[in-house]
Amino acid sequence: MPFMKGKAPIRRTLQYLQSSRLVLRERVKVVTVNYNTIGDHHKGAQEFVFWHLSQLQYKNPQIQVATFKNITPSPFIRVFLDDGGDVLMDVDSKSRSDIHDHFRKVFCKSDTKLAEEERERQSRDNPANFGWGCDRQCICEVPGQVPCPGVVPVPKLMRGKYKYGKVLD
Amino acid sequence: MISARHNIISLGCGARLWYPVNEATLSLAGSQTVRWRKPRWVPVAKSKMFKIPPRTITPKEEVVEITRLFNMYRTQMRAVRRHLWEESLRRADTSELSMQQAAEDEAEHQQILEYNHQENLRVAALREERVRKEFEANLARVEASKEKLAKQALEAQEKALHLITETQALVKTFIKREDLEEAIETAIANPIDYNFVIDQEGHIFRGCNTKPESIPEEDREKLLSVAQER
Repeated sequence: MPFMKGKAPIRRTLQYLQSSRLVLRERVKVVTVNYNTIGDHHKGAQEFVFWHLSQLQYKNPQIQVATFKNITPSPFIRVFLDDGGDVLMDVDSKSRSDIHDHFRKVFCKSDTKLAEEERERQSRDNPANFGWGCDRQCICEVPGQVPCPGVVPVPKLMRGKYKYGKVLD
Repeated sequence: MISARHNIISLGCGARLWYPVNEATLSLAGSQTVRWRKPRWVPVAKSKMFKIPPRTITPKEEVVEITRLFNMYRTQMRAVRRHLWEESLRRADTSELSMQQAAEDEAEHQQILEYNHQENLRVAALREERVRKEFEANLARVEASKEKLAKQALEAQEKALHLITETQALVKTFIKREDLEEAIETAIANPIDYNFVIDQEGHIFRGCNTKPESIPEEDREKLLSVAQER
């Protein structure tokens, strides 16, 4: 593992981040976790934040994720939706896996939905496209098309500066 | 004067144009109109006045072919456009399917909120239980500490009393100034012998002149062990 920084550097690996299934639903905009750094009934929340918060942010880069420490007697997760309302999730004395499962069930897209979206994304990718994000960068790469004008200059009759008039010095 | 067709005109900034432009339209900024047109009050040229434009005649077969191709093209374009329009209708926000989808999403959302609410209640019950237990434990702890303190206070009091009585008893043995000479005389008359001897069985024989053999077995003083004394 390169750059093994921090307590559990596996949390910084791509494989770990990509393997998570915490993709939030479209309604969710802000995720807030309130917990204390010491306390038995906060242990589950502490571990959830330690292990899963980075995964959550990786999968949802446009969502705001915030933590508030040592201001609450009992831990909870508050999620703000796009209509302005919020949903409260009590995690007092719950274990990390319990919190993870409950969170996934309530706020994240289900497995079926994710599979559906994956299928849609694949079908929308037209293999005939070229450009950024496609197989071919430019149409000049395709055999049978006009070669790249950067390599072979295009004939003068096809160039705009000769067709539509050019200022001669 | 109107300039000839193929004259090359130079502009103020030094660049030259190869297409004809009316001199009057050139400006200082270098921009000019492209097209030269006769002024509207000038009549039609003599050479063009009675000119009859030729009517283009396309052969019948060509017309038929062009019509056929055009119809094919129009049909295809219309089909594509119609297909896209129908798809947009299908995917519109107000279409039946989307409304259904929206209703389903809403129902799912409510269901999930309900589930969350139930979970919260369950956890709240557990939390109340825990808090209650902690509170009771706290009370018990406070009680215990109070008892301990009370006991300690009692013991301290007892110890103090004990000390006082001992001192009182001790005070009685003090020698007063008037009895000083008497006390000295009694002390001189009764010297205390601090010498003693201990044997391996634990018998103690007091006095420097006592012989251990002279005291019979039964009268021998047994020395109590340190632990017993304490």
